[in-house]
Amino acid sequence: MKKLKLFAAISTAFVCFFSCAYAFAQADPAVKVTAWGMHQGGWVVYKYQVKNLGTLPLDDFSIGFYPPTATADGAAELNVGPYYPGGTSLWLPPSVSQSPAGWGVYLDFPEESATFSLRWVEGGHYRSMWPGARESEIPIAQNPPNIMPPGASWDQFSVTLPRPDYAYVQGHAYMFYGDKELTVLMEKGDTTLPTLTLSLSPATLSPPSGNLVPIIPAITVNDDYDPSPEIKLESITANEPLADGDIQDAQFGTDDRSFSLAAKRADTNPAGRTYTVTYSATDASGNKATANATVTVPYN
Amino acid sequence: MPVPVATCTYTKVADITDPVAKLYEDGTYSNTKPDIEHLTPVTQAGLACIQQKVAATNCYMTPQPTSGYRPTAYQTHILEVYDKWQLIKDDNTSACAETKAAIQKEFNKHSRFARRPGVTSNHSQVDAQGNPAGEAVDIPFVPDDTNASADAIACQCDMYRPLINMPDPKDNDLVHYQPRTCPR
Repeated sequence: MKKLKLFAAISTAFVCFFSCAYAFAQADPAVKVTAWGMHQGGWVVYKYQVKNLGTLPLDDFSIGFYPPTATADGAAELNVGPYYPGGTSLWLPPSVSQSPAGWGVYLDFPEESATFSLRWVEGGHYRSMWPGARESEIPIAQNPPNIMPPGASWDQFSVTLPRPDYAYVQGHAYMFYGDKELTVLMEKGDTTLPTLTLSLSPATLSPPSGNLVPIIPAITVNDDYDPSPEIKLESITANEPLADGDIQDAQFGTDDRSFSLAAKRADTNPAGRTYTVTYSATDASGNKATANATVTVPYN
Repeated sequence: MPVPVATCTYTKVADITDPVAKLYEDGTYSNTKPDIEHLTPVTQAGLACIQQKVAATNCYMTPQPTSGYRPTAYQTHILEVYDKWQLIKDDNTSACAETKAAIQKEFNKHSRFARRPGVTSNHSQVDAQGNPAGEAVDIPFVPDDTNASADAIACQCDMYRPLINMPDPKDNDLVHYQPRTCPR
């Protein structure tokens, strides 16, 4: 009997140990960051929603960074490019960024690094870190303080880029929460593919005269977040070998909506020639949809 | 029998005494405001030249340096900050709470640490008299979609990037420029 009780106690402890460990691993982080992107007026805007789900205030966090561990280096995840307007400061101006009142955002470079993270800080907190810093260089109003309280959900964080960069929606967010370093994977707010429809005109090339015929694609695209996903002509293939010049003026990898196809077919192919044209639509969060349409050169 | 008093075995980060390093610590210099004044004149000229050439061809911006002269005393300081935080970060005892808070504040005011910082480099050189004479500057925003463009611009300015194409790609430093007469 004693052995049975001992076995039951050990089993309970064993189960509890693993369930508790599982619960810890599954526990929601104290801060959740959701990111999504959208094309706007020729630019790409990446927006961030920060939810403070814990019990402590938040006044400083980075996106695009994770710290080193005991066995591996960390990394800044955002690539340097000709992204931001010049000036004498690495603080981002309002023309390419948005922050809640009393907050600002700057590029934070780990030493000797070609990559950076974006670090949003509350003005009072920044001043407390650098009490001797030159006031004129801090583009954050002195007052009022605006520390993010527990339970708050703010979405006034954004940056504007000249072109899509999906690293801005799929990296890490890093911060101090109380006296603990907290690293969370950003959640992609937009995981739905755009809807893309494609038709080609004319859809039939007849007679098979060998002439080049201009093809006009009709494309419609919709997305739940991005008002104008990026359209690209991906490929044009055929069900029979093509000769040089059968496809003219097609700029693959661009939003090319004007190309020509030869009204030709092989004499030995009773099915006729079928060109398959593929376009893609990619939203600013990196969700990519493709659509095909065909142009046929019938045998008869 | 006396009750033993818990003491923290960790110590706070030492105060900086080096006068130039102090300017980093008080925020006068940082990666948003690197120390260009204590670079050698040749390095300063190379930086200005790269900025001018990039601005002339890049409608977006003039590239801003993120690191200039960094005194060895400051490098030693940030290494101490990094190491002490790694030691104390998982300590949750009340005896160490004050020390931990002080180290955390130091750690958090610096740029993010992606790895353990080094102590010596061409950023920290001094001249024969011991005066600051840094010979390296980090310039992240030179367009480098192809490395050749960054190197071509550097060459026109008698600068080069010594730390590219390293045996371990992890050790590549694409933003680190030093003076060198470019073969013409």
